[in-house]
Amino acid sequence: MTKLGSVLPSDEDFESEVGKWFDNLGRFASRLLTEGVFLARPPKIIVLQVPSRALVSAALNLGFSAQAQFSIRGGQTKLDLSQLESAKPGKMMQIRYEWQTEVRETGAILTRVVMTGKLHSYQTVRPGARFPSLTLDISGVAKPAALSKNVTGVYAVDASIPSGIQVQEAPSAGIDIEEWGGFFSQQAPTCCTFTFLSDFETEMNLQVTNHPLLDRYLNVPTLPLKQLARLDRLTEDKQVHFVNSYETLRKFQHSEEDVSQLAEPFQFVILDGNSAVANLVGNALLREKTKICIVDSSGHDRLSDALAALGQEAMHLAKNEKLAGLEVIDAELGLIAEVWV
Amino acid sequence: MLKCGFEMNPVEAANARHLNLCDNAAQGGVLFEGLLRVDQFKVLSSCSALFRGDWLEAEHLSALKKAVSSIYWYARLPLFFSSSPNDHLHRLEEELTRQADLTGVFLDQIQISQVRSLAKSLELLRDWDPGLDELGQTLDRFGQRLLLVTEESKWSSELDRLIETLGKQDQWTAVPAIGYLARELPRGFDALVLLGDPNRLSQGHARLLFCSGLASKIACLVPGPMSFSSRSLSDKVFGILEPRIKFPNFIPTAFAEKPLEVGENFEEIEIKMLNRPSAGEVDLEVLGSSGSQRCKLLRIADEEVIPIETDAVRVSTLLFDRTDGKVKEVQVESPELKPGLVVFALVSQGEQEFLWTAARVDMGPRYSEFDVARKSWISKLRSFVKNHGPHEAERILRERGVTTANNLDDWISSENFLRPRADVDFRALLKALDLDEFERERVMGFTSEFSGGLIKVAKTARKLVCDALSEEHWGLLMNDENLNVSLEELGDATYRLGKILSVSQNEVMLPASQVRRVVRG
Repeated sequence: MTKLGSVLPSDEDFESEVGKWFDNLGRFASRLLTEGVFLARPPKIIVLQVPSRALVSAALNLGFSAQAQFSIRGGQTKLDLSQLESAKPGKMMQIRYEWQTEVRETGAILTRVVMTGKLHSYQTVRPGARFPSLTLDISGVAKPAALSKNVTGVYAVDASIPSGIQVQEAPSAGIDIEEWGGFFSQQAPTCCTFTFLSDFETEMNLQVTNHPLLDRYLNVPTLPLKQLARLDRLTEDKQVHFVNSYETLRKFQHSEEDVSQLAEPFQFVILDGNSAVANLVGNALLREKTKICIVDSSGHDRLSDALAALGQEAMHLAKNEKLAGLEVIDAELGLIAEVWV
Repeated sequence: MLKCGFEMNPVEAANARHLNLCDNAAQGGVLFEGLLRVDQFKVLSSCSALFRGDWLEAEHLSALKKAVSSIYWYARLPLFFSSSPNDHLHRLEEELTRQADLTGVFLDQIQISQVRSLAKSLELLRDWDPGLDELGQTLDRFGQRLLLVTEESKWSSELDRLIETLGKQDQWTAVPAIGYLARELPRGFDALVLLGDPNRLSQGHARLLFCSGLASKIACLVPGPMSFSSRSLSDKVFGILEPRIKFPNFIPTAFAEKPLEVGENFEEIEIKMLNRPSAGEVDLEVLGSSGSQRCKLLRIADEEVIPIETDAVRVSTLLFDRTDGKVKEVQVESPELKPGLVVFALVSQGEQEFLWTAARVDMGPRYSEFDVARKSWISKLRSFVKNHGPHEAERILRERGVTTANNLDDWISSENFLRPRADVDFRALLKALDLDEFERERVMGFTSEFSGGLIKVAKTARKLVCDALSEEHWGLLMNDENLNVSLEELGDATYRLGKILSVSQNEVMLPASQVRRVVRG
């Protein structure tokens, strides 16, 4: 079973095995992406009544990340030179450079640069130059990049992918660098979580061990949950990968249009906790999404609002007939999902 | 030694909650039993008859209504007044008679008859045997280690008294307010028992008790005659969602007796209790004029001040962080306190008393062991001072390494004195009182655990205050509007927040109960 631990420099550090409810929630997230009953008629609302919201969205995000890797989804296509030559300006592209060894105080690691932006122009090899070059528009700034031997590939990616220049890191030994690079560069927007930052980020900093992603693909003993779940802040995207995202409820409330626009690529939205459910389950800007509502029984202060908002929204929907409205996540623990379509 | 406290890492806590829910389901859901005797039922019937009509709602009858309400609450749970039941009952009877005399001219014959009937029924409760032994046996059936809660936080001191009367301090823990259970998952006990009617709980509290995996076994001892169906309670707790826990139908019974013929539709009678005053209506205590604490005053309104110890090192203030739109706590060095900074303090009790209560809950049954040990060494200290006289006692203690012995007076006069600040002083003091090494380590260990609990509660309370505030609230504070924040999770403790208008230059001497508390002055 998956283990989660903290690495606080005090006697508060711990490592504990999470119950099977955690892995089962992850499997449920995976099933949402693969099973016919969900694909045929995507749910509008999924309600998870849990004793506490703690670690629930973490489990779901891990599940989504795992399924994205297992099914190797991802809207990216490696382009050859002829495709580059004929590519139209404005097309979203990603340039990945070679991994380089970097020596740090803590030891050697591998790093590589990844640039993502809209194609501004393509230059064939000019007199005096050795390589063709691309110029990418990265957040309004033109960035030229020679397509030298250091460039391992140029990829066409979905227009919704955030642009930027990032430096990826990897362990210097013991891993399959291609697998690693692929995992942390995957472009497969799946789920966006709206939550309270401090609780969520505390959970995201937990270290994961004993997870199939670590054992089967990445070949490292442990990673922070945030990395393994490939989570990135919606309004401050920093990572190359684009799989799962999160943002504060407050941000959504303050900049509804902008935030909902950024959340557009994600099929699933997790409303993490009663406040998020109360405030967002009925929001018109999220109406077409599948909203996974985590109803927190220990969060008594906004519970009534959450239940009322759910009732209001669900009255326009029907329970999924094929499931009789219920999907069993963990029969022994009585953990179920209530599904409205 | 039984350990009952709130220490689990978040993974353990999450696991425990899921398993508790599962265990609860395996045991058939929530157990309901009645906590009612025939004589109580008669008193409650009489109260209900009075409330059935609306005439008691008339404004000029509000004092009579209050008298009847008080009787109703007493009759529901007379065992909570086991320490002085007859005195309390006598006061209730007197007040009812007085109000009936004052308002008699406004009542018709039927209404007068109903009031008389209630007064007569109260005679049944005189010299009443609350059946504590039977109650103790009933509770023992749920397990050895119990977590007890009631409907309202105002009953909490009565719950403590009940536990003490039954001699269960080492096994049962009273939770002053249901909201406490939202903070962390308590562990180390066999069952959670609600001494109350779940229908009287808010939706959120009912859900917290029954569905957040607090315990593998949950029982309700319902004090009143109200019956309810599982469906009605399910609807309340789950709304449109699938019930995650089973509630049986409840039919009231008396202790060890058969189900009562309730007859009247108690469910239909809405007992209109007087509302507790809202936080904004709490009367502030008047600034004292004497005491042992040297304080300066932070003025936050024309007639509101917060006394702070003159030698306080740091004070908590609030700040708005624009980057993530949250209000945060910032500790400011005492000399840096100035007008414009936002400060906050409790309204209806001193901070020390509040923290003490909350930390006591967190420590569970171990608290009683700690408190016995604490009182023992403080009693020895008092005897030491009495035998030697204060000056000589101070000199001897200094000689024996207690460098802060000049505070002796404060130590022996404070109800909740915990320890000298420095470990070395504390150890030297315990040695000077002839505690052997084992006992010294034991006392210091307990004290350290409790001190840690105090710090933790203080941090939690400050965080909860910050979490309760939005940008809009901050705007109000900046516009010189003082706010109240009530923390359900900590027994409805109410904090008042406001900008410092001025800091007093002069010192005042105040009782400890007023330090770091908003008072009128």
